[in-house]
Amino acid sequence: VNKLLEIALGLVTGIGGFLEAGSLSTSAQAGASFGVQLVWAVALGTICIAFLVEMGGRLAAVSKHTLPDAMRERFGIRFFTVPLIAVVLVSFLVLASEIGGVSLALQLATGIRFQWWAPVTAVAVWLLLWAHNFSLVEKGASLLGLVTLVFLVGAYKLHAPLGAIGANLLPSLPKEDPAKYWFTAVSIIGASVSPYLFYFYSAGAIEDEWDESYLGVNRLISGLGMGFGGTVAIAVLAGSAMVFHPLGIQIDRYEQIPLALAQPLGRWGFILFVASLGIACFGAALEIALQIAYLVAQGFGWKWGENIKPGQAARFSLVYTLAILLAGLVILTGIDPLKLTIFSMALTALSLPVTVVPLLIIMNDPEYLGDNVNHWVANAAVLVVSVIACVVALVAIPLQFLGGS
Amino acid sequence: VRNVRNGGTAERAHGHYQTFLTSFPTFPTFLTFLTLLAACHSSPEEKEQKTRQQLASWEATTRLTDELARQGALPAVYVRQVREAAEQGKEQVREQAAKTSQ
Repeated sequence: VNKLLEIALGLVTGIGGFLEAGSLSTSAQAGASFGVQLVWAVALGTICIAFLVEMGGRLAAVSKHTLPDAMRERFGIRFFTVPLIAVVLVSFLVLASEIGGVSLALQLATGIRFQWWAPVTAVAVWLLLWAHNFSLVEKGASLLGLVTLVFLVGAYKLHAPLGAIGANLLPSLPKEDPAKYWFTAVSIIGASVSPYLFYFYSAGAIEDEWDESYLGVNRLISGLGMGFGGTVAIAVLAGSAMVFHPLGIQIDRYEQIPLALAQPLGRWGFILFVASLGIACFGAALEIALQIAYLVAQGFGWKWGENIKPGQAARFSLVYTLAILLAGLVILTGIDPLKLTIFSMALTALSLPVTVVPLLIIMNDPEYLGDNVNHWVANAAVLVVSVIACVVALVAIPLQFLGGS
Repeated sequence: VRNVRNGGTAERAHGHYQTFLTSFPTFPTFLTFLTLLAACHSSPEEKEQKTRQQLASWEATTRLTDELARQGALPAVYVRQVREAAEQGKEQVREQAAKTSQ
């Protein structure tokens, strides 16, 4: 019964936790600009993150190591600093994007500019982390995140073209504006394969004291949870494609995106969009702030854990406090949250090999995993997606900036 | 499954990782590649077309917002924000176009 409950909660976490500022905005942009042509990027990103999440959980369950812990031990502190800096930098930008997303949701609801909501959001995130335990943070945010299922309802009401969506599961070349097409594709992959997702999942498995008996549960949660999450992201893309693409509307600001739900669902569509954006980004902000603290504390061997009092893990608590404070300050400057989000996602794609290759080396080491080392399919899927995303990002990011977007 | 590793293994792993990182093209080669790509990126006509598309996008956003507002699907506070964003967006596009045509 406990395992079934774990699976159910894990699936809820996968669905409720998948959609956040990055996946929502990149999917909406893709749908508006290219119709359903970029569905393949969401699918590719989802497959990759499902493998990575499964690996993170398996490593924790079998070796009792979190990813940073194993990386530092395996590669030494000198080399560990490379993925450490890459993940912390990217996660920090994504954290700022999520705080921006919550602030934007509050702006949409009240009309008060988003930068004024940034300090309020940052304090709320910090207070929840400071005062509550891991289970509440993880499960509470994910349960509330189920509101994002409204995008499936929206896509259904808009009669999303299932045949075209299915046909576009395979990658295709752009029909127009190749620089934007590839930039959007890597942003989608970056949003789906955010390192915070599998680092956080791995730390959660340790916090929940998983052992080898959880390997099946882990496989189900990562496969089905991420699969359902990816489906919601495809629904965002399809809804956006149905509403914006025929009218020639490109998504340049967050303020445009609620129209994709208001069109099929009326005023409730608008309300549920604001709730989805606010809750999904708030949940993601909680997880990313915690993950930054996990990463630094685990990497340097400090005492860590959301289930222990902040005073007993002072350096761990200090890291998330500083991360939230600085990310709140970034949004307070008035930087465009959508541009920040898209840039962060592309940068995430760019950094993928640095974060993923050390993980793959560990996942193939029998001294950590025993008989549970990676199958070649998992290695190939993750490596191919990461390297392609990185190479395309290297070309697409400068081109997109030279194009003035 | 071991929890403690020795230095030799760490060095071996370090070697794999370094080989992977150095297998990417050198920075100058890549920069040349990017410059060539950028040079053939967009002509003045394409830039003009992009400007027209961006302006049309904001016009369409305003029309859709007004239509949904008339149906009672959007609160007034949100409609104001979209109109403001559209005005700012169009202004930015015009400024960008003026800059590139100089």
